[in-house]
Amino acid sequence: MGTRTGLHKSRGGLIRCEVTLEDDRIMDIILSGDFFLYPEDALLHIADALRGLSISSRELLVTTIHDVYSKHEIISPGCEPIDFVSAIANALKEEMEGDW
Amino acid sequence: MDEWRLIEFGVVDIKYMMAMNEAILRRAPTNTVFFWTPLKSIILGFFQRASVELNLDRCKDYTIVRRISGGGIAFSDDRGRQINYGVVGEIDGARFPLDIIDSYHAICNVFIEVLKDYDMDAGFRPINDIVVSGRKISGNAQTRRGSRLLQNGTLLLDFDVSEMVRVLNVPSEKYSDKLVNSVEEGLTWMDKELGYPVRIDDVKKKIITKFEERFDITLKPTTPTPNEAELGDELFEKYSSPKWNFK
Repeated sequence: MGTRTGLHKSRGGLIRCEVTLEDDRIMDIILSGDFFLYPEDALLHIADALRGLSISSRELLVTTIHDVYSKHEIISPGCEPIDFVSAIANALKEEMEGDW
Repeated sequence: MDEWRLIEFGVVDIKYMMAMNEAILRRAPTNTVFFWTPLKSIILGFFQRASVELNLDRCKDYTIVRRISGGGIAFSDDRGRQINYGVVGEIDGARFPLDIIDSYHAICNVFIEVLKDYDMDAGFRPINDIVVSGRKISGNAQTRRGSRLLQNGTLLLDFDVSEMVRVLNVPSEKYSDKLVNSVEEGLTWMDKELGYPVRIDDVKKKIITKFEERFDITLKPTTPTPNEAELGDELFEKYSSPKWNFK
């Protein structure tokens, strides 16, 4: 598959995700949008942590992002880890199984 | 009474202004309020991408720059009818609260009081907007470094909505008067609310007075320190580079 784009409107702003899969794993992911996230550089750590992960478990993606939030003391008003996963899910609607 | 600095940059190259924003954040000797006037420029939020947000073919005569804080596009037309401000402050838990939304609110309150002085029904809409009767009149963006915050924002006196929509990346089949109208419905500006063109200097004077009253300080007009200016010159290169602006 090529690169898919998904959008998700969180309370804190629009999240845009461009994701490339290989089999069921995230090969590459770019997150952008008009949300706020502190410290700003930590967004790259979220993308880094997601690369290589299987998309078969939504829970795993959410937990992974939560861990990055804790490690880098991320604050993102109106925007939760689940919001990033929703943007991914919107990009990958076709690949997602029913349990998503 | 504490004294803060007040710097008026006037009409500036927005790339230089973004460089000075970062320089003041990093090197300000004390809390600082500053103003500038942008013309034909587009400031992208830190997490935004020019190729996604903009119709680049239509922005050729605009200066495009990315800032260090998140949030959305700050667009300025050629009218020069908006007040752009910056505040650099020590997050002391009192004047500038640790909580991000509270600290937005603390600064936005200055502008809300100014608008109320003009009999407008102004209020704070979290996370970072000021609205008049539910319509956005001011967008604000904050970042932090260590114990300091930098908040930027714009207060609209007049605004060319159709020009902004023209440069945004809207598929041509969706571009229409209807779209312009719907964007316009969500926005407002002082001249529209008042029914006459308000004097920009009068508004600025009121903002300065409200800052002094609310924060119990005096604002002393000055210019950037040599230390800030030197870093600003250095950072200008970053804010002029396609690598930074079109990442």
